[in-house]
Amino acid sequence: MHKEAAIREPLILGHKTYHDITEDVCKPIEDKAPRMWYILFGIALIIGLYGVGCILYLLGTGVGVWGLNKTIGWAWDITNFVWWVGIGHAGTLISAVLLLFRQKWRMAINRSAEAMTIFAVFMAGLFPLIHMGRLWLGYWVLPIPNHFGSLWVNFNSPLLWDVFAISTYLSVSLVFWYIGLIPDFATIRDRAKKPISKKMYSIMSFGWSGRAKHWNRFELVSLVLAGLATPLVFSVHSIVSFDFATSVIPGWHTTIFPPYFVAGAVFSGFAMVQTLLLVMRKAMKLEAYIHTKHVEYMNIVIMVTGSIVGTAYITELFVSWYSGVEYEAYAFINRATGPYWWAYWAMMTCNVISPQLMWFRRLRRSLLFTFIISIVVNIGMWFERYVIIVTSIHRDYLPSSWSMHYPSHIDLGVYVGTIGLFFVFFLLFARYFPVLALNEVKTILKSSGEYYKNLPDDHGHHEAEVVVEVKEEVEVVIEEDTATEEEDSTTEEDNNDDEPKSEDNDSSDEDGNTKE
Amino acid sequence: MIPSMDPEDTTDRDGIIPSYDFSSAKTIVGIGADFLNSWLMPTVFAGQYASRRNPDGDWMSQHFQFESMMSITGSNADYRAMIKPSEQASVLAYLLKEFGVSSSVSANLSEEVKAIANNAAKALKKSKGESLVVCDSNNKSVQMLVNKLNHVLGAYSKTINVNDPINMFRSEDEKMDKFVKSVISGKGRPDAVVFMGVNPVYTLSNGADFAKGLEKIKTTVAVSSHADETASKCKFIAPSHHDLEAWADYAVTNSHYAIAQPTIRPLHNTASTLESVLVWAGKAKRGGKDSKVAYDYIKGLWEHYGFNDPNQTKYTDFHSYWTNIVHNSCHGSEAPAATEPAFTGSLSGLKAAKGGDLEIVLYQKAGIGTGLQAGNPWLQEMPDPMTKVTWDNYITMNPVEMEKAGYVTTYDQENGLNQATIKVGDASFTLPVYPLPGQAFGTVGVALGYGRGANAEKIGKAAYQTAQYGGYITDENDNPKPIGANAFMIANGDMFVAGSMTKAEGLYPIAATQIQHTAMGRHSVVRETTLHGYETKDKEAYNPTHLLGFLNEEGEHDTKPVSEFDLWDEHPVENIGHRWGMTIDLSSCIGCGSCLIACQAENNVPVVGKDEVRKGREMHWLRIDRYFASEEEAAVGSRKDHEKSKIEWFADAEHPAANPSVVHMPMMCHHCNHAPCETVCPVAATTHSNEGLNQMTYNRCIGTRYCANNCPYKVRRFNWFNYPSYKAQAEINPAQDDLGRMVLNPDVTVRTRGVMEKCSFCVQRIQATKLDAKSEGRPVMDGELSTACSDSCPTNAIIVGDWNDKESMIRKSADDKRAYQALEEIGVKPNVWFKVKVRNNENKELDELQVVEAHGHGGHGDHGDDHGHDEHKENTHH
Repeated sequence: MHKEAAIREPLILGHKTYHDITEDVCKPIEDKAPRMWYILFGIALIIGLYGVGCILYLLGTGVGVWGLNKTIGWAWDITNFVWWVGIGHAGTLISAVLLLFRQKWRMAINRSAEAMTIFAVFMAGLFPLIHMGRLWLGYWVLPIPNHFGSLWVNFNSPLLWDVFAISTYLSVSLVFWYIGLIPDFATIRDRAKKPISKKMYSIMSFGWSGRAKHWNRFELVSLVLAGLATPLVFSVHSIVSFDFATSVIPGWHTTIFPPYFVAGAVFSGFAMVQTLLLVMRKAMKLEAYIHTKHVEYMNIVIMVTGSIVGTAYITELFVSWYSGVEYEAYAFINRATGPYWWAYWAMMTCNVISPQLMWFRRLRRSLLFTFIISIVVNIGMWFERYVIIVTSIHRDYLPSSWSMHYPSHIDLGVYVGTIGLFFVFFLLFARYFPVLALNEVKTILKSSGEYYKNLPDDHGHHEAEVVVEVKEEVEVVIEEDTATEEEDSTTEEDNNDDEPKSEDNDSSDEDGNTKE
Repeated sequence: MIPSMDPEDTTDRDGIIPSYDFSSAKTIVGIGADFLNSWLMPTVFAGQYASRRNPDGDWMSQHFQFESMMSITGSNADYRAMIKPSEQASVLAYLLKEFGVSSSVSANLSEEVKAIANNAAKALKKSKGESLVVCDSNNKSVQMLVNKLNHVLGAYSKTINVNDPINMFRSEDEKMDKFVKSVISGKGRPDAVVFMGVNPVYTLSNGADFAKGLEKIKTTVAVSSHADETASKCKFIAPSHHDLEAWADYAVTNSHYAIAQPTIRPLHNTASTLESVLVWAGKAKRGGKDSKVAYDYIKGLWEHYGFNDPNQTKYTDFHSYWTNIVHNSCHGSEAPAATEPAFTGSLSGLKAAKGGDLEIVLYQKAGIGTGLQAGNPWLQEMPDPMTKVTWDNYITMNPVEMEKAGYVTTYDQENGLNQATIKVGDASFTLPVYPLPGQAFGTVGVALGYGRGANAEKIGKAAYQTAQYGGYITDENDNPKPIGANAFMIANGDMFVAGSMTKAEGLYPIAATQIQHTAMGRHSVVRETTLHGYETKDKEAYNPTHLLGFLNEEGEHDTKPVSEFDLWDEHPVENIGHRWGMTIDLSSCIGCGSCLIACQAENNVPVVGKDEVRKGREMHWLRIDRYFASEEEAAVGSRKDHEKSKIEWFADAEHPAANPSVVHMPMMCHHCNHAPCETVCPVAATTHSNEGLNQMTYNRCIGTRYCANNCPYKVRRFNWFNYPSYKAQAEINPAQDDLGRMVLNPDVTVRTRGVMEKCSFCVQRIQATKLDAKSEGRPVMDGELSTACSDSCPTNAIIVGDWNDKESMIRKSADDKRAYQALEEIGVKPNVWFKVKVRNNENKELDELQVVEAHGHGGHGDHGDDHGHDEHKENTHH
């Protein structure tokens, strides 16, 4: 049994047993869905179907149903694409990069973050497809043998790199996510009573038996995939940024873009994770697993990446001045003071100012505040892409071609529709899939669970006292939240223990699954 | 009456219009006359005019224009003064006074106008006998002054020829007035009227009354190709051929005859006008569909008067004479020498036209003219050369005045312009008010030729307002609404009328192809200089080379021209085979728009309709960017020294000056050798040919539009809908019906939805030219290739050819010291060169800017444009 420093806040609150974890995660799947789920699912489905309708109209009529014009060839389509891809960054970062850095707190959030990633990438992938003038010939972007005299793709084009980047990212994320799901599906399968669901989960769990060999391979595959996925976290958005950076358009032609885009992507991805998890932990009663500390960790990531993004914005401004390039200077002055000044300042406010509030411990541990900021950040990040794309091309080199962009209702319908579809997927996921990596969470129960952490070496007497405190904490209102936490940390101070933390390698639970 | 042309009422030759020669006028003073666009023979005049606007020629003419609305002609003038139309006589009187001739007309002018009039007088004095004054007024007193001035200047012996009068527009207003009165009043009403090539119900200010009177005439016949406003009121319509179906001949001037041969067999059961007249005169019988009546008659005439003319000694047999005449389609003989007629008029007792607080100038647009072709969607969608507005009629007003009167002065896709109601007598109409800089204060302009088909006459499907998603916008009777308002209803026989204007409710959507009107001081886009500067200064002063810094072999900072840097390997197009290129001389281009329409016709460019143009989706492969100078610029594209912050400066530079100088800049695909569009296409649908062309493979295009975004010149056009079948274009796109499809060029693909398109340098013509040469076993000759735009350019501003041919016109033109590549610093290496616009005026501010810096490069003219801040410039130039 590895022990973790007592000064670290526990990752699992209360006195949970292995069985409790199984129960907590499986209950929503096995129980009847609550009314609220049906209501939310219904709303999401209607919005999603409206979006599908808009897309069908678009495909039937032509890209002209959007508000694009001769000067502005991309607007909401690519804005939405980059926005969704950015959101789809958190999952892999959490599961791959944090895995390699042995951040145990990721275990509570990685499953749903990965699911979010995959659905976000689905939504993202939709836009490059439907923005094409001739979707039915879209397969020409694939370098496949053909009957056109072996006509090849253009490897110079960043759009082609996008095809590879996005599809690779999607495949790796999907496999990573699914591999992680296999032991959990097996758990559900073992508990399932209805024949249909037993059959379904048994197919999905690929005959997982929980043998040591399985666990061994599971760990290995996870590590290998994490190794594969880590560069992808950085490559995908770098490549997306090349769509702009390799162009000749002032405001796009910017070498700072790759790191700036990656930071922005993580920033928006974590914000989206916050938005979803803060609702989900309440709705699915997972407060013990996803709590203030997790939120705080994520807020720190948001603060750091937000600061990187802010620095990038300022750097851009500086370079536009310092380069002395006429068009570059104009592009940025136009962003800030031209007809789209409101978009620019919306971006600046949401992305530069709001994450800085996370320096205040009180604020970054406030769940309500976090929820609001997480939405603000994603609004800001949408505007960032809109600002980059539209305000750069709407007034570029030749003033004769300057133009304004006005979105059509189809633009709006498709965008809102993807949000609807995203929630359709996510709600289905929450209903049928284990939203917590239950078998992985079990690995940290003994080291990071509150009850176990506070056990004295002789399995002593603190127990009752602690449980009472925990109950209080779960129910406290936000204002009191931090205060309680601070009290906690002072009481824990004398319980300091400097044992090195590591993943627990062997543990077993009540369901008989042995983990090596 | 049509307030067009009955000018030049010379005192001893009543009613003739002499011919003019702008190519021998060293000083041209235009007073109102829009001679490059609508006055008499604008295409001929434009050619003559441009031949003397070349700064490299023997001499360059100097052009002064005194006018009320910013016309194409005024936009090309070296000096342009804003006057009210009623002040035309005063300008003339002022100029005459300078020559010591006094008249009964007041010579009072405002200070600004006086300054320009003084310059004009100075220039006229210097070029006596080689100058020309033209005026569009129909007012006898004004014309008397013009004639006197020309007389004093000795213009009649050189630039004006009364012995070779222009035969067009020779109307007799008084007789027409009498006829109209008789039809309306019934007193002396004729029993039969034949209308031929006229449409008085539309063009008369009292057309409605006239139409009522017509109904009471026993026999009314219209010889017309459409059941237009007049024809539909006639008892008989004799459907006439379209001009492209008929044989015809013309005597343009007394010394210049032309012949027109049909280009197509008649499509419908129609007859040529000539045949109808011959049949009615009992001279011929109807010939049916393949009638030779008109042909035989014309042939007989030419044999009698042409071939048998004793002076005709070139041809001995009629067959070869006729074949050659038809081939050349014209026959010019030496014009009779100009002689100076005596001026017998008196300048006392002249009365200047009466003005008013608001004078409404009636003018003709380049595309629509007097509305004859209102049903032609190409012309309706042709952006007006000055306003860039399509599909509409509007009131032009100076933005400075508009702001004072509370009108909005900017517009875009969703934000329209205020409307106003113009009232003259009992007639009134409401139109949007367009901010046109250069419009004289106290005047507004309204174009003629709109409001055609007000009673849903069949004048062509495209003549009516179409709805955003197809079909027409209809009135309460379910009739399609005409486009704009008919300004003929306020016409009084002159070019202007006094009236009143009141602001009306509501904003009106405007479909314009340009919403930003200044060049924002971007010197790498537009370059201008003065003739004096051009002749005396080093090239670097007015046409500076873009320099980039680099570390040389010794590790020192050095600079070299941006053209010597390459991010990629050179395309192997230089000095191997052909490399097609084009130069466009901004000094010659007058902005008329012929190239745009020629390109549209040649390349099957779709018509998209008002709402699509409003949304910025016009498809024109070739457009003409029109830039007005702002107060911040010494000339278009040359920013003045200033103390303002950048933010403030940019905001101010967006607004044109009240009376700005203008540059017209044709813009099409630059066929860049390092084309940014080519690198970004994921499927290689746009690639470079080994002849330097940027090729668009429609079949391969999947429509990502990345290429269009990445085009610095914004010349790529996307097929947002399937224009040959989309309902919104059903009424206006010729490709949507069987008859309309006949205008399509069979050598050029009609593009489908979802693909990108753009100028191909008329690749079909290039291929044809190469094949011609190949089949004749010879290389392609210089001048053999022409593109639709270069072909149609009346001023020869566009030269195309093989750049690799060192002796070619294009090569010489591209190597000229005036040649520059727009946005050269991006390094895309275009195959299109522009040539610096040279204005024959004094421009101290520009002269001061255009100096070569001591260290020998980086002209000061691109002040802050290309290298930005001065302090930074210091760094790069170390």
